Amino acid sequence: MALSGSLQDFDISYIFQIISQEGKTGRLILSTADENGYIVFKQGRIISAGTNKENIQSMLYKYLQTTHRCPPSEIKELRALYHNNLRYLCHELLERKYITTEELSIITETGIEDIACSIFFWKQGNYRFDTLPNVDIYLINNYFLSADALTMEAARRIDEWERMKSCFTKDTVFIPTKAFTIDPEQINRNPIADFSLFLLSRIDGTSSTELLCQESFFSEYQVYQTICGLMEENKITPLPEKISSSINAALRRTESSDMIISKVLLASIVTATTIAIIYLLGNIIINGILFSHRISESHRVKHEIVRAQSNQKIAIATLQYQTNRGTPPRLFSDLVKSGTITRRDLAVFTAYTLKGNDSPKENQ
Amino acid sequence: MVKSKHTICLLLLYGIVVLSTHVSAAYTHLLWERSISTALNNRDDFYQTVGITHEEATFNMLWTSKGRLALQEQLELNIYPDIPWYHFLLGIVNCQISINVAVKNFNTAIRCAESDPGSMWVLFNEFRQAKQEDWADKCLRNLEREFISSSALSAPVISQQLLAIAKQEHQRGNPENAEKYIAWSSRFERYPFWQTVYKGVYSFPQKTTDLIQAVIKCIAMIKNSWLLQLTLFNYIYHWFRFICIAFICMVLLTLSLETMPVALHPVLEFFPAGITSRLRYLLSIALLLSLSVFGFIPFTLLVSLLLWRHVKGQKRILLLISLVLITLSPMDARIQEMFRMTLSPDQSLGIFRRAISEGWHIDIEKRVQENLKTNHDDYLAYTSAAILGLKKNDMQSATSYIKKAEEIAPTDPVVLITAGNIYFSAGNEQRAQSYYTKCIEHFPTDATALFNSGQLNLNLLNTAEGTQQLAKAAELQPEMVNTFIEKNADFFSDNWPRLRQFQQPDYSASYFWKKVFPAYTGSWESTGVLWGATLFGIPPLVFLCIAPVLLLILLTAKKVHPVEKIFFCKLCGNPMCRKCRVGLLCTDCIQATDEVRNETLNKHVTRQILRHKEFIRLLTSNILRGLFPGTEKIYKRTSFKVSGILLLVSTCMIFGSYGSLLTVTFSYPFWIIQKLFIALICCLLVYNITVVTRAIINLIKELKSVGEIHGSQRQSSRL
Repeated sequence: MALSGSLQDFDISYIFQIISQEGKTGRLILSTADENGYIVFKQGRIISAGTNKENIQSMLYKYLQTTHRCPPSEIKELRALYHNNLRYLCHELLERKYITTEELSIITETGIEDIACSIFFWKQGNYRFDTLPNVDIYLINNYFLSADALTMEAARRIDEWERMKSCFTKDTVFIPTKAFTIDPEQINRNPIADFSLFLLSRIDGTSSTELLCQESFFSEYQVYQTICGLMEENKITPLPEKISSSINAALRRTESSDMIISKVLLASIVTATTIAIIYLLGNIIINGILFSHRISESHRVKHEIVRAQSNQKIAIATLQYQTNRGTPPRLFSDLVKSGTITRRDLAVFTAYTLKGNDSPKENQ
Repeated sequence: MVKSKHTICLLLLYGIVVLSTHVSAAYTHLLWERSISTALNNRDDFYQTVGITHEEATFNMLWTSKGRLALQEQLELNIYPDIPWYHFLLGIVNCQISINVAVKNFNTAIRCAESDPGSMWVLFNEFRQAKQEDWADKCLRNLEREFISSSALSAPVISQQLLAIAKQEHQRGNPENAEKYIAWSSRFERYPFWQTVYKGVYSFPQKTTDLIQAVIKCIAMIKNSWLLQLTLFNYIYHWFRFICIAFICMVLLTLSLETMPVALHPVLEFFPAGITSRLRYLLSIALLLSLSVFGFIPFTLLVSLLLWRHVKGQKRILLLISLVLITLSPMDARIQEMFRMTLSPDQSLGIFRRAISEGWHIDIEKRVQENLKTNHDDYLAYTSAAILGLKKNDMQSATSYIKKAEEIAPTDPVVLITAGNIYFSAGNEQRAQSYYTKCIEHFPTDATALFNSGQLNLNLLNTAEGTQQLAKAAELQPEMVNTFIEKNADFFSDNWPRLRQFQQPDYSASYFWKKVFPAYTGSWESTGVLWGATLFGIPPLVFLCIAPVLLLILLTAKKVHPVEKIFFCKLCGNPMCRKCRVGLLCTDCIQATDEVRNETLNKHVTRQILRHKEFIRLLTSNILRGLFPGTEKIYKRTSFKVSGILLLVSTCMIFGSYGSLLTVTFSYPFWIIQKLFIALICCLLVYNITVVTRAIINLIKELKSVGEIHGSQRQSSRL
């Protein structure tokens, strides 16, 4: 008979107890409205865990990125190669000497414990236990965790979590109480060993707790716990809520500015294209093709009087020019220079009659 | 590559030629234009033959014996007995040796040029350049004799050039000579309007009386001439049209500045969220402006309709006036067509005008014949042909044309007088008398009919009746009759030439407006050509019929959504709909204030938004005040006084004046009224500069007071 049901009927600790006592091997799958998770048991002991928000792979990738400065292209490659195989991923990381065995064991052990404990916070949803013949694929460094010990640790963490949440929220921003000089080399040498030092280096009065969690390779609980520790040691102090909100808002604005620029660009391009289409439609299709004859006829008729007046003025001015100079003008502008007509007369003539022809003889 | 470039150039050149030939209508040469051109070419050819370059055409070289001898040697090489230039040059050379010989030479030169008015005109210029003013005057007198004997009333080729000479004399500081040439210019013009204007304008502002006298003379001329009245009405309408355009533009601009953000708000929602409303508004404005490519009327109609829903009260009345003016645009096209049909020299009335004013020449004959081909039912086309036939002394064609004209318009005074003149000229006095009598019966105050009839009676030895009619004609139009008789007596003594026995007919101003103008104003069909594709090809008459119906629908249409859909932000005052509002504020203001938790900072941001809003309002209001006075009284006001509207109308008149002054064209060169034009523009500019200065001072004052208020607010908040 498969073990399944609702978390409202049975508490997770009770399910763990059954699996542990029965010494079952398989995978416990849990799901709530917006979260999914799994815990892998081998002979009643926990060997792996993961949720849709946190898993060992993502922790390892974050660790590689933040401490080993692993380029994103390599991370992308690793993600593609070992998408569903944690064991091979760990093997590859050790093989390529991305991390040491010690680092791997700390991350995986802490990670499995933190993830499994975080599942204990789920009070609603469903569970199902699938027995599996072999779960070695999930086994990392032969790490086992007792279900009873985990249940006790989880109970402790639930109390601890409530206490920590009362001290600060995810939006709280911290500042160091004193100016610390932290040697980056010291942090990078062994960030796991002294996680508080790593976190302290990230606290600069501009990062909220949420941001610290996102940047950290450990779980949210570890970050909160370390921050609490630092607060107790009086190494950091939280900023007032209002200031924290302002900083968070500024951070959000910075984040969204890139998106806004792209939206502005998109809107401008769309508008420019629409204007170009309107221009094309209006000036070329309607005015240029559909009604071109009507428009040219209208222009011809509209300026009939002006054209006749201009022609008369220019004809007389040309005669006057030749009378005085003994030769006809080479260009119409010569008429203006001689004072027989004004610039305005020539401009009217050019606009309504000449159309690009500046030689009196050619025009006649 | 080079070959293809050449091909492109050739294609472009061909395009230009095709365009220019398509656009330019056939130009009908003026009276004596060709003759003068030929004479000029002959003169230049002859001067080249005798080695005179055009730089030497001032004949300054004759003042040295060396130059004189050189020219004399050249002239002695050959004899040209029929060439006036030869005799003229001989006379010029002989001036220094023997006056008597020179007089003989000059007389011969004038005699040689007598048969050709072009040569006579060029000879006049040569005499003038050689400083032989008396001989130049003799040439002009000969020219005038030729002019009046050909029954011409105006020769713009001569009158415009003479006026230009008067201008030259003014510039040289010879006011007497200038006056003389203005007078000469007037003699070659039927209505010496521009000569009078030039005389008045030139002495302005030194002699204001001259300008006043000129104005009085012009008014008198306008009173008697339908052509001048028509031209004046055209200019007035041109001005009125610009006033209307200025009014539409100003009202729409002011209302758009205030209401367009609301009207365009639905468009704003098409843009992605996250962009500031200001940028969205600017982009939508750019979109709206791009629609102006479809033309002024569709664009203004669209803007008016966009604004209509959001404008209330007095502003709606203003918008309605603008809309009515826009919808009346077909009427504007119709009126423009009326002026075109009556003023254009290429239409029937224009050709008739030229037929009366000018003597016969081949170009006008061709133009009249072309007009006849297209207008079979047009009595003025036949009358023009008959007048030209009479002037050409082709009585057969003149008689046949006037008969056709009489069939169409049997009681038209011009047709009757022309018929009388033709038969008078042909020697059929009885028939001529019957036409004159008929004309006098219908139009007892027609001075021309009375004069011509009187002349005919004198010819028939009906002295008593003839004298009586002439006296009556002189009583009705003393200046016209006396000038005619005086000129005849002066030039021809008792031997009056054939065409000077009677006067050429023309319409009286009242008859023209009552009978001729309505018949020659074109049609809605011809207006359609002028209208073109103004409103996507909709014919003007159709639009004129549809527009009032649409306006009525717009006026009577009820609001679909009685609940107000657009709200205004409490801080920035920008419009917002239900989607984009957050409480009483718009998204932009929320973004700017909501995340600021610090109360002082929040207040500062709020104050900044309010100050920005106030600054924009003040700036816009003062820009409107400076550029378009009167519009600021409408902008962001719920109601406005009549004084505001009056100021707006006066601003429209100012801008209408700018528009009409900058686009108006005349048959005479612009330099005639350039001085007056500059003075008028300066007056208008003074008004505008004053208004702009006042607006700037006002803006500075208002900004200062706003700054002080904000400063005190800040201080109180600190306290």
